[in-house]
Amino acid sequence: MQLVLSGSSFLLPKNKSWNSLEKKFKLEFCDYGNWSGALINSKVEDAISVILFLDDLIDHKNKSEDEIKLLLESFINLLVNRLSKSKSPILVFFSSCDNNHLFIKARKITKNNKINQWLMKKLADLAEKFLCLYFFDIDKIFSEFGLENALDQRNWYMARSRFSAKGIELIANVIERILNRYKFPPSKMLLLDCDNTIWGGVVGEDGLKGIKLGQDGLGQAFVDFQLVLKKLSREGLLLAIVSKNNEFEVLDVFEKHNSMVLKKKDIVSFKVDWNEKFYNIKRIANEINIGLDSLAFWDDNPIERDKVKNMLPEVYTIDVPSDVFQWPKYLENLDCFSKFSTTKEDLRKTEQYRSRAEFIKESSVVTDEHSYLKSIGLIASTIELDESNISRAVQLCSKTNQFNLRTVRHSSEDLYSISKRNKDFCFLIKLSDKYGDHGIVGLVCLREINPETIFIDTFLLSCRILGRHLETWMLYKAIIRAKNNNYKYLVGEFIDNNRNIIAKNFFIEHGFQLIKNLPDNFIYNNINNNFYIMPTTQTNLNFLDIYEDTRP
Amino acid sequence: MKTLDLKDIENILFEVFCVKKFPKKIEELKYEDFKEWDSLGNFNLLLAIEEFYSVRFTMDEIINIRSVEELLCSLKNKLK
Repeated sequence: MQLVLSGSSFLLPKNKSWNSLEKKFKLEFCDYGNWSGALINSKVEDAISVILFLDDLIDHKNKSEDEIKLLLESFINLLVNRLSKSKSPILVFFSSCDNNHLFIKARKITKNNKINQWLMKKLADLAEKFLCLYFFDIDKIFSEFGLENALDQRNWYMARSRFSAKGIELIANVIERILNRYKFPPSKMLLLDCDNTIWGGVVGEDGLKGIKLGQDGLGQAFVDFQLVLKKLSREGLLLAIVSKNNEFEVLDVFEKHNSMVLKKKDIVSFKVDWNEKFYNIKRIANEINIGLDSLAFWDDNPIERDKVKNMLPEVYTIDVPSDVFQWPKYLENLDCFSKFSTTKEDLRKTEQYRSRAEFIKESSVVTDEHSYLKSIGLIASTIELDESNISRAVQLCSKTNQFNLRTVRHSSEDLYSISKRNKDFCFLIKLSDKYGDHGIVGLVCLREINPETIFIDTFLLSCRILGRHLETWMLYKAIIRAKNNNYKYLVGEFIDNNRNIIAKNFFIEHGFQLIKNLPDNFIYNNINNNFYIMPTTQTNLNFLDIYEDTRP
Repeated sequence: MKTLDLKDIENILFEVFCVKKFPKKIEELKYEDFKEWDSLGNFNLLLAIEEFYSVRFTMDEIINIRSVEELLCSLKNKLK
C-alpha cells in the first residue's frame, strides 16, 4: 500500500521518525504548502494523510470565524470528492493551535476552539457515511506526551515544521495503527487466566473470602479490569477461561463472590484443570471452531505466557504489564480488540457461541444426524440487503474465512451495486433453532455472465452455525432465484484461501460438474481451473427437509 | 548523560541517511559529500543527534554545523 502525505506545514520527509512507517508502506510526501495535494494527486488505491494546523492558514488571526470556515469548506469539498471516488483510507489530522491567553480561555470558548469543534463535527458526519475516513485532533494525540515536547517552535522557524521529532513519531504511530487494521483483523476471543489475573491472590490457597477483589486498592483494580472485559464482551469479544486450578473452586468464585463483574454466562468456555494451557487453548479453538490466529491470551505469569508463545505462535500472547494498576487502561487501549464500529450481531456473540458449544455437546450424543437436525426446529429465511443490515453484510465479507467459496472482500458500495442490478442477486440469510436466534449468518451474491448463465460471486456462512447443512438450503434459494430470472445454468468457483478447506468439495457434493473448457470470453480468470456448473433444473438436494420451509 | 563515541555517531548517520556506505572516513564526512546529506538531511541529522544525546542545538548551531568534525566539537561542549 502506498501512503501519500500532505500537510499545511513541512512534514520533514526522510526524518527517522517516519522510518517505522516507511518499513511497512511506501511513503510519498507532497510538496510543502500543498496541503490538500494528497487529495488531488494520489491514485485511487493510495491511502492518504492530511495534516492541518490552523496557524498555517494565512492571517487567520485577523479573519472572522466564518471566513476561516469558508476556507476549510473548500478542503471538505475536496475531501468529499475524493471519498466518493475511492475507498482507500483517509486520515485527517487537525490542530486548532489555541494559544489564546489563559484569561481569555477562562472566560469563553475561543474562536480556535469553535472552529475545531465545527470541523470535527463536519468530519464526524462524513465519517458516518464514509467508512474509510478517520479524523484526529492533533492536540489530543499529543496531550499524553505533552504539546511542549511534540511541537517545536525552533523547527518551525528553521525548517517550517511544526513538529519535533517526537511529534512526527506520535503522528506516524497513529497512522500505522489505523492502517494495520486493514492488514490484521481483530482478535475474536480472549483467553484468561484466573488467579492474579481476574482477581488477586490464589483461590486455592486464599479461599473465596481471601482473594483480592472489590476491596480498596488492588481489589478495585481487578474489578475495573473485569469491567473493561465485560465491556469488550458486550462489543462482541468472546471470553474463555484457561486456568490451572480446581474447577469447583473457580466456579465458586464466579457464582458466589459478590464483587465478580464477570458471570458464568459471559464465559463461552471454561477449561479449568491441570493440563498445559496450550493443550486447552487448542481444545477451545476446536470446540468454538475459530482459528488459533483469532485468539489472544492474557496471563499474569510470564512462564505460562512463554509456553503458549512457543507452542502456539499463532495465538497473540499479550505482554502484560507487571503493574496491575495499569491493566484496565492497557486492556482498553489494545488495538487487537478494538473495532471501528460495532454491529448488532457483535452484541449477541457470546450467547450465540455458547449455544454453539451446547449444539456440539448434544450432536455428539445423537447418532442419526438427519433425524437429529430435523428435531431442532431449524428456521432459515432470506432477507434483502438494506441500510439496516449492510454493515453486517460487509462484516461477513471481511471476516468469514472458513465457509467462503471465493473470499471476495466486498465493500458496502460493491454490495449495493450488485443488488441494484437485480435485487434477487444479493441476499442475506437468517437462522434460528432451539439453541437460539443466530441472527444474520450468511450472504449470497450472484452476477450475470450471459443471458443463460449466472455466476456465484459470493457464497459464505459464518462458521459458528456449521453442521446444519445451511449451505444446501442457501444453494437451493440461489437456484430458485436464478430460475425465476430465467437463467438455465449456475456457475460457481472455489478459490483456496488456505482456511476454507471445509468448502472445497461443496460444488461436487451438490451435483455440480467441473467445467473442462471455459469459453474464451469468460470474464473471470481461470488460473486454478476450479469452475463448476449446474443446470437450474436441479433442485433435488439432500437435507432440504431439515428446514421447515423446504420440507416436502 | 551519554558519552561521546564515534561509533554512535556512525550508527545515527546510517540510520538518518539510509545509505549502505559512506564515501570517506566518518570523521571526515561533511555536508554535500553525498546526495542524501543535503539541507533537509542536515536538519534531520541534527534532530536525531538531539534525541540520542538529549541535547538541544541553538539556531546558530543548526545553521553552522555542517560536518562530523563540527558536530563532534559542539557535542563535546554540550556533554561536558
